[in-house]
Amino acid sequence: MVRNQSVERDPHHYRRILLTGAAIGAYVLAFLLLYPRAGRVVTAGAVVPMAVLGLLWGARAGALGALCSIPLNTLLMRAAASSDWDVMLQPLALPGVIGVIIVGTVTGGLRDLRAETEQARLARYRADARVLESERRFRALIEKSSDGIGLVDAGGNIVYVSPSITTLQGYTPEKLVGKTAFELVHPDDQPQSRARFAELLRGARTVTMEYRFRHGDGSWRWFKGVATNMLDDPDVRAIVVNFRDITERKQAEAEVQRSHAELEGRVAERTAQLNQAKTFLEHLVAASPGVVFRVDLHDFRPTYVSPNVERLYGYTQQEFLEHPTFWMGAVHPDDLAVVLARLKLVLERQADHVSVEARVQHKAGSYQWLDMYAVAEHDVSGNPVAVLGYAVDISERKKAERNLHEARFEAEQANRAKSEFLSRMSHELRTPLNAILGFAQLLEMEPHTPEAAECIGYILRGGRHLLELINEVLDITRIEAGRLELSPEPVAVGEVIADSLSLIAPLAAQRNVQLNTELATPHEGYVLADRQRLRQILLNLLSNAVKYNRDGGLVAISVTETPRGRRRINIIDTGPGIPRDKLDRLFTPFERLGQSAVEGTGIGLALSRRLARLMGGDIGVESQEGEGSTFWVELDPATHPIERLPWPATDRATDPASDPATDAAGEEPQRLRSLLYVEDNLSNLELVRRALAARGSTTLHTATSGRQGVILAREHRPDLILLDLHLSDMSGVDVIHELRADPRTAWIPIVVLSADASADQRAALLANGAQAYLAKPLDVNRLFALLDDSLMVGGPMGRG
Amino acid sequence: VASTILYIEDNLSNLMLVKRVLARRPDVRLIEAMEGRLGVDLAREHHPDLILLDLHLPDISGAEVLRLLREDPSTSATPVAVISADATPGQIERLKADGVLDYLTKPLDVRKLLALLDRVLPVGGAAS
Repeated sequence: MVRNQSVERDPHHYRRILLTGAAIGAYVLAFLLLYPRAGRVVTAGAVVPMAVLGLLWGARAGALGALCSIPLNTLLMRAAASSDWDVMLQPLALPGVIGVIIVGTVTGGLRDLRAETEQARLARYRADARVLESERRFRALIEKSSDGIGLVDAGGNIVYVSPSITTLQGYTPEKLVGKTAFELVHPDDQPQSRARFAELLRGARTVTMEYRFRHGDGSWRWFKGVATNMLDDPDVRAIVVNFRDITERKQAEAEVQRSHAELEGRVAERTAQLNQAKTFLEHLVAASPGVVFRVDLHDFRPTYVSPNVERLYGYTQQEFLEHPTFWMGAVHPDDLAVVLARLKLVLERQADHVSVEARVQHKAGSYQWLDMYAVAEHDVSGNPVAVLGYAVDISERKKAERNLHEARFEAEQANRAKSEFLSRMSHELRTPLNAILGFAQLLEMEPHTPEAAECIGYILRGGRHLLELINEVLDITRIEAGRLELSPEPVAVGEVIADSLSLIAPLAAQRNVQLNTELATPHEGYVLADRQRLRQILLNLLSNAVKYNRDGGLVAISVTETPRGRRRINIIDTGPGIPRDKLDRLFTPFERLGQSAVEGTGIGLALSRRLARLMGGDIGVESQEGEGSTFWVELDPATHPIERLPWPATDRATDPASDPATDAAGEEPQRLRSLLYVEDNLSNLELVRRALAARGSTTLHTATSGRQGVILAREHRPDLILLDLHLSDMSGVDVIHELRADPRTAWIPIVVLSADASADQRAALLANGAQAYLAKPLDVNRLFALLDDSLMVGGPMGRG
Repeated sequence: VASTILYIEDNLSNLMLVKRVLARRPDVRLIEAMEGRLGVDLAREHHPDLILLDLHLPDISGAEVLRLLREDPSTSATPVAVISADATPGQIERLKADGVLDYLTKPLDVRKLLALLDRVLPVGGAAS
């Protein structure tokens, strides 16, 4: 070590000091070399003179080696304990050595000083100056030290405190010396301090204590004190207290403790919250009607089943958890496969949840319907590992569903029975009616008297009225049974109105009612309807308007547009009008409003309303008593079929590139040369006419009835016949039969058009000789494709 | 006699009515059958020019009669017209698709029946 080496190197320094000490005579007691860090004497020089040293250490003066192990403060205390001595400490400022010289002055020794020589005095003066200088440094050192040293006697009175007390406790040593050590200790700490002190007095060597001490500025400071009982030591005879300000440490500790406490508080609070949540959830699950479960997808083993399973289904949690396949035994054998299949779907990633209804057996034996819903749980790599879900008893719902189903079935059954009954009734009524009307017709053809003619007329009218009634009842029945089939298509409003007016004209003339057709003629525009049924409605409304009119009255038709964009056909009469309170009953079957004198079925309006609604429209009435009524029927507007053409028809027709003449010149000999279209819907006729005009080169023949169609076919023998199935005079099938029966037309390919043919009907039509079937509304491109196709199949062909 | 018509019908008043209507066509002979099977047998035996068929018969249904007639080569080409009180459109369509020439509903429109005869039977007894 550097310091030790220095000591070795320069022993003359010590000698010089010692010599100086010797020069001052008895005053130098000893010098000590200290390592400041350890605070222990490491070496000691000779003590001069031996006699003085003897005063201090008595007979052991020679045993300097012993000093080496005595702590400095003990040494000081020993010195201080001897009341005859003033002890001075002087720091040594020798190179390589840090240490102090302890100088003891015997109070009484001043007398000896007088005897000193001037020279010696001078030397002493010099030494004093050095000592003072050293002492100042030492004090600074001690005062800046954080530790303080005090000596207390057996009564607890302070006999010494080191100067650092001023910094530490804000008192000068003088103020403290003589006071009781406990006086300034915090009252709370006094018992402990006194107890420690008592321990010392009882023989303990050293005690340690922490206590608060009143600072000079009035505040409390924490100190840690180590007290050593040296009362028995003849050299000290005091209790040595080594103390250190630990206020900051205490504060830090308190801070740590506080934050620790706070942390613990928070943990406790959070734990309490979690417990509360857990308790809440447990209560919730326990009280809920649903069992919560978790099933491992690996082996379908339940890894959790909520305890309420016992309350709800009689099984214990353990039964499910201990036996992996236990739950499968509880599921109804017919339902297990479905449940497992759903779980597998999740396992195979084809679904991310399971939703399945299955029967589960209660431990008591009965089966209950459960609705199970579970979502997939995935591991970190996204593989489904389990499903977590709940199962709820839906037995009641199932029961209600079954009851509902049964009730519906019964209602349907009843409805079917009613339909069947009416259908049979209708059939049964027709048979006797056949005889009545049949023979009356025969009689009408025979020569007879005018009286007989009148009678026959009554029979025929009555019979036909009855037939009309039966037909309408049958229609209503079919509508209610959902068996009335409609073929809705765009229908030209003006066309159907003109049609109906011409049919009603004879009746109007007979009743002397004028028909105002002016309003009706220019009505362009289309509605979506079944043409026959729309005509049926209009005829019904028109015949009512005529029948319930006054003599010389007026019936008019107008077409308006409703705010919702529908087309409304109004039939306006000049009849007596209908009281407001009876308007509602008009559309109820067999409400004749007391006008039984007027011939009618009483079911027409009810049927018309059902038909209108079936076509997506409606029917209604506005009436002013004494002024007449307006019955209306409104329907959704439709687009003109020609507007749906995929190209502007006129442009194409005038395009020189597709000049019909050029095409006809034989460049494309395979082209269809002539076509017969049998169709009674004028707008469809117009559509095909324009489409073919754009295509060019094909001659179109049109027929508006089946009979006319057959005649034209024989006459023109077209390459192809387009045949509408719904003709007014003959059915489409009849037309096919007639065409096939005649060798002149038997080979002509027939394409059937219909809006409503079922698959069976289509098959039957094709089997009866039609080549193809096209659905309405007509798709022009498909029509053309078919035309080309039927040509390729090859012109004249015999009936297959 | 120019032509023969077979009427399969079990209702006497209907039979009488048609008989009276046909009286207006003196060149037509009417054969009557009040049961389905008998009707089929008579058709095989007499090769009528037209068969009028009611659908509700005591032994077998009209549809069954139609099937039997179609199966036998000797009657398969004979035109058949149905006269029935069943006016259900579906029924009418179905039978027409099955090859029935016409479907007349009861009560019978006498003019329609006469028109049918004119259409089907050889004019003025030219054939047969």
